[in-house]
Amino acid sequence: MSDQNLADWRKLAVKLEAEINKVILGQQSPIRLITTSIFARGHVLLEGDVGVGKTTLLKAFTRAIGGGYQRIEGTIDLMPNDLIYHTYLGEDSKPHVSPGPILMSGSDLSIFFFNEINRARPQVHSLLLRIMAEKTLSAFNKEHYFPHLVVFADRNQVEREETFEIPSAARDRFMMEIPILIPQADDMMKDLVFETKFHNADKLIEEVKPNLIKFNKLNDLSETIQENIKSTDALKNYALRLWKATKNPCNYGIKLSDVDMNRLIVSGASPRGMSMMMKAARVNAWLHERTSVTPSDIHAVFHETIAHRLVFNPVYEMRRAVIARDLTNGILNVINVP
Amino acid sequence: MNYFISLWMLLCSISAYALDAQEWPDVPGGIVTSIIKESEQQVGYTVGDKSERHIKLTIKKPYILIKESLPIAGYERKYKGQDLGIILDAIKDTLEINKTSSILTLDLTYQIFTNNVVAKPGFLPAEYIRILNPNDPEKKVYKFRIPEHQIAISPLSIFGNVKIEEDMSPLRAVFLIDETGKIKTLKISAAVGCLCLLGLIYIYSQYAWLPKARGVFTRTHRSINKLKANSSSIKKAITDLHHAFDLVSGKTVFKDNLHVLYAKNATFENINLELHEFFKISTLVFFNTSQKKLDHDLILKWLKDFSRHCRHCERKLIVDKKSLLAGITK
Repeated sequence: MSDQNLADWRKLAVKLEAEINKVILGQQSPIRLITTSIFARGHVLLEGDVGVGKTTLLKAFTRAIGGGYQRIEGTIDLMPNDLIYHTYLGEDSKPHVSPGPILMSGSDLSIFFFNEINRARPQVHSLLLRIMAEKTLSAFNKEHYFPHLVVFADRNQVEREETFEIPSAARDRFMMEIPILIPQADDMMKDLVFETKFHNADKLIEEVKPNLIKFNKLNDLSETIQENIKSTDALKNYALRLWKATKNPCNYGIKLSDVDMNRLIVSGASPRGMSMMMKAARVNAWLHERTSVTPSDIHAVFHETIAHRLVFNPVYEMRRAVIARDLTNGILNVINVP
Repeated sequence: MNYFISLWMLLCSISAYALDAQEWPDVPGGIVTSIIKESEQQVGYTVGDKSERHIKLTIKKPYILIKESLPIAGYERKYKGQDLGIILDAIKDTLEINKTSSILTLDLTYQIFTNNVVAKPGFLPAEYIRILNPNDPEKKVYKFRIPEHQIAISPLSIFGNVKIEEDMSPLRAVFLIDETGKIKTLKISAAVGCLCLLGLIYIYSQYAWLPKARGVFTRTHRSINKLKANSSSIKKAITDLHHAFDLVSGKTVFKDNLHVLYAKNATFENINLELHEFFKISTLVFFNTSQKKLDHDLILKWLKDFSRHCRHCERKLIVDKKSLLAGITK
């Protein structure tokens, strides 16, 4: 793919962002991160309070990307086979089996939207792990491939009853966990409350231009971006120091209030996590029309690509959101460049 | 035995009295000349006031002064068997000896310790000095009399008069506060103040060097100034500047969190443009993979100017906006 093609794709990416920003108010930063994730071919986990627009945001993206789109709601009684098939009695009074949401679109499945993922059982998480990591599924004596699949999932951390914590192995499969917050500007808050067009989410999403991006070209594009955007030795050293700091923040003098730093980290960022961070940073550099990664590209994605992978001591898990944010900020504040 | 000792001590004291009371002859005319400068105030002295006399005596050779004959501070004379009420408070003497004569300069300060219900005459007493001719085989001693000086000692108020403002006595001078010392202090203070002001102007002017001479950017600028233009020097200069910013801010400074630096030292906001340019250069040098050749001379010169501006900011000096340089990365 030539530089000209990359430039054309960049324009498309910017247009995609603009389309989403048209219908989602005050979420420029999450929208940029989701765009980054789409072009880096990474799965996205959204986290936020109830009713902040997580589902609407993801649905808007799926409309613009095109391709096969399926969604499922996470419930406590959801079982893995509910994702693969479902049975019913047909008009002929005979039992029938039809493909479930995963198989329904075949290899064209581009977006699988898992709503309220933390309400599903660990068995379902396990199935999802395989689909996310390997993009394959064995069913009906056949191997099914989903080369264009990206999983979007959301969860809210407020209600914890009848929910299952997503294991760290499953969290690690997501490229980013993006917090969605209510816009703080008064004008936007007024619009959200009084502008009637924001009250009907389905109708609102119809304003997004459908199939803006050719979903089946994204894998090749992503590879091209990753090959074309380079990193210097200085940047590699910087990334390495960041990685080490996620494992042993104490060694770098990082301190958080009310936290025993010696006991905080059970496991730092994984090699897969760091490579995903760099993939996202390269896409960020591409979106900013750069040919090489700079520290600011890493900063733009550091928290969202790393924080959810850190395994904390269970004592601190209840305060994960706050501690993780402070820790990643602390790491960026302490590790110097060059 | 005790009787003899007592008798001997009595005889000694009688002979000392005889010596003290001895009348020395006046010095022959023409040997000692005197110039006396009296205080301008002649009247209106009262308790605690001081009066000064400046006396210059020229003693022709071969006569010399017997130093022991100089008046003694704290000594109070008697007049008609009673204390005079005026004592010699201080004496300052200098003796210059030249080929033909010796010049004795005396500054005598008298203090008044007497008062009366009416004005009464008083005088600064006469003083005697003694001289002798060392060539005289008899060693004959002569005395020279410094004449007394008439003054008027006034009461604090006329007898029976309690309203001092109605007292128009011509014998009392106007009560004046002696402001000499205060004026002297004022002059010294003004001089010190002026020096301090000049110092402050110098310290906080554009080319000042005193404050924060050991500041982070002072050291950084010093080290960058010594560098020569090549690739490694430029990397070192940029790294040093990054470290300096990190030290000042207490955290790693990037172009996205410059507000942290501004919060620590708002003067850096004055070079906002240059700071952004610096981060562009840093990115160009460390993170750009293109093969574009860099002009090391130009970049190092820019970095030297920039580090100087940072030093100014560290000292909270005003950086000349005209000297700010941006656009080097274009």
